Amino acid sequence: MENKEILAKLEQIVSKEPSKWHEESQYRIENKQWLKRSQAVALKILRTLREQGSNQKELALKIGVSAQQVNKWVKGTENFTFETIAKLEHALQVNLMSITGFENLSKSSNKIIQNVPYYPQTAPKVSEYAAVVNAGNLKVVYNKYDNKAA
Amino acid sequence: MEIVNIFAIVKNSLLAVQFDGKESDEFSMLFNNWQDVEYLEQFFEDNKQDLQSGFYGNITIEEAVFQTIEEAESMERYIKKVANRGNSDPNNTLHDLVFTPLHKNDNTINHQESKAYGQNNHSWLRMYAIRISTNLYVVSGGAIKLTGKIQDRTHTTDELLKLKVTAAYLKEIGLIKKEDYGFIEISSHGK
Repeated sequence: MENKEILAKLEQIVSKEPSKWHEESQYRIENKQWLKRSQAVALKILRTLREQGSNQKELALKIGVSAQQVNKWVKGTENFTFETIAKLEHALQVNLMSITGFENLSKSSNKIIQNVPYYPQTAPKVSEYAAVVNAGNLKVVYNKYDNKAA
Repeated sequence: MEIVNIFAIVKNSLLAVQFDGKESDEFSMLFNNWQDVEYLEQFFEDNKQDLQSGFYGNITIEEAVFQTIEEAESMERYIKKVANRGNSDPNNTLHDLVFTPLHKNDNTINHQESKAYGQNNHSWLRMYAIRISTNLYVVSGGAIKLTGKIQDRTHTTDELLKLKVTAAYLKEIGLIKKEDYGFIEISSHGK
């Protein structure tokens, strides 16, 4: 068949609507960075459920969401909130997300906060918090820190 | 199994069919599946023996899922680039994809391309297509091919049927005549 003849035929038979792929692939390319993380979370959920002999339905019941919602999560396209991650971690008893390099971040943050009186350098125990609160300093401490950070 | 529509992926170069009862064309579905974590985890779990048989080396399901997503992304990005260039660009060819005849002794193709797989290409992603002319392909489906031959597994033999249905459709609408076409397997260089 001649090329011209083929092109004329194509004009007739090919849909005038674009393939869904054009839009879908554009979305995947533009959102690649966070999608990677979502995919990793999705896979961890699925592998954990499999290891535990559980399933999406049971997970949905534990968390109090619909099975459809869990199914959406495990596709690897969900932009999870911290709240959802925390609920999933609690229900599955696994760590789904960790922040690496936090120690370094703390050090650089210390430059800002070291002059703030009473700012806890390490996370205080409950009893220590109580002591700070009792001393009436906690509010002042965080207000000052917030102002500096802003 | 009937074809209800046909879409352009790369204008006048790469087309894809849509079968009845399906939400979108085969090309869109492939790239959705190849980046769908749930689909991939289940697929590799179902085909664990083939995955870990050594054909592609010993590999975990987690590695296989991420490897598939990365390969699909890379293939998709390349095709997107070509599709965006538009039809006026003379370099608008899919030369970074590897087109190989499905049947080794296929004599039905008039202008047989002879591209080889890259040496480091271990990609298991395959698209199946009917080749109409030198640079015109109609995608009928695709698969993750973990075994040597398409006939080895049900999920790949299903693809042979889809190819046949697509060929019959293209004949019916007069786009191909007898012996004008060939069955083609498309993969990427794994870039």
